[in-house]
Amino acid sequence: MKYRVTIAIKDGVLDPEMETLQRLLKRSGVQGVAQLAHTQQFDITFADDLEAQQAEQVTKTIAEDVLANPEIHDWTIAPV
Amino acid sequence: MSAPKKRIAVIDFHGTLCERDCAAALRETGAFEPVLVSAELDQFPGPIDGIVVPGGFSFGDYIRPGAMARTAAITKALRREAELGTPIIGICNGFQILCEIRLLPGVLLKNRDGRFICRETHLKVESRRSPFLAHVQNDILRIPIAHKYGQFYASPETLADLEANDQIAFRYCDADGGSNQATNPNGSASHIAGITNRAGNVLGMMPHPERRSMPWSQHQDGRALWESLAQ
Repeated sequence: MKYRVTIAIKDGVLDPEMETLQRLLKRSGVQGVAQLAHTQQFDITFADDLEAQQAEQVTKTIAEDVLANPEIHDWTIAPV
Repeated sequence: MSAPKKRIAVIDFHGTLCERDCAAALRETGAFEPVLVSAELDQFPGPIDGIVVPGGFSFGDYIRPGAMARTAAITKALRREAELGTPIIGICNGFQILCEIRLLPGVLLKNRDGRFICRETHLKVESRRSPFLAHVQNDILRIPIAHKYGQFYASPETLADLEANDQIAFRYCDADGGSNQATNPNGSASHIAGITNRAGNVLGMMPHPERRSMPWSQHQDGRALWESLAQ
């Protein structure tokens, strides 16, 4: 059983890397990019005998406690 | 007879770098007995009068600077001491850690210009609620920064709370105390260089006072923080 955590930077939080990339793309002639954002994905594989409900709970805990910071991130989880 | 020395725990996470500098700065005042504490311990060794969370690159900055500290054994004990009102200071990566374990609000993002910055800054002391600042005489201190992730960010509501509760400890400024974009090295919200928790006992700051505390430092502005705690 596998769960995927996807973490995105909240709207309004500055992401200097993406701003720089957008600027460089524009300078190199790429047209039409209005906004660039990057997300992070983490795949968590659970032992076969773990209940789905428990796996989901553990995934939420890991996402909330370690992988994401609620001040700047939105996160979602989904079974893979 | 002189007063007994205060025992100050200096936490050493995997990848912490500034623990010895902090211990030396504490010892230099003559008032403290610094105790290096491994982050793998689940409690502090004996009674302590204060805690320093030093700078460095704990856990290699994996996930985000400071984020992995949530998994360290000492973190529970650190939270307990924070609740008890023990004076705590987090410097640089220590500040990032205190934010990531939610002892302080907000988060430190990559610098506005995306670069590592290592230089002296002027800081205006905005609040003296922290025991590390209560007896600081000067309103402006010169203390260097050395970080890539030092841009303080918090939601507008959190910033308003910090302001309303007198939790902003330091702002980046010029030699006369004025703050503008040019005096803000990393793009921090409201020019914030350091904040405290609501109770005032937990202080986080990006600049490194321990680097301006020794006789051979180019000046000793950083000593004021340790001397304040000693009083």
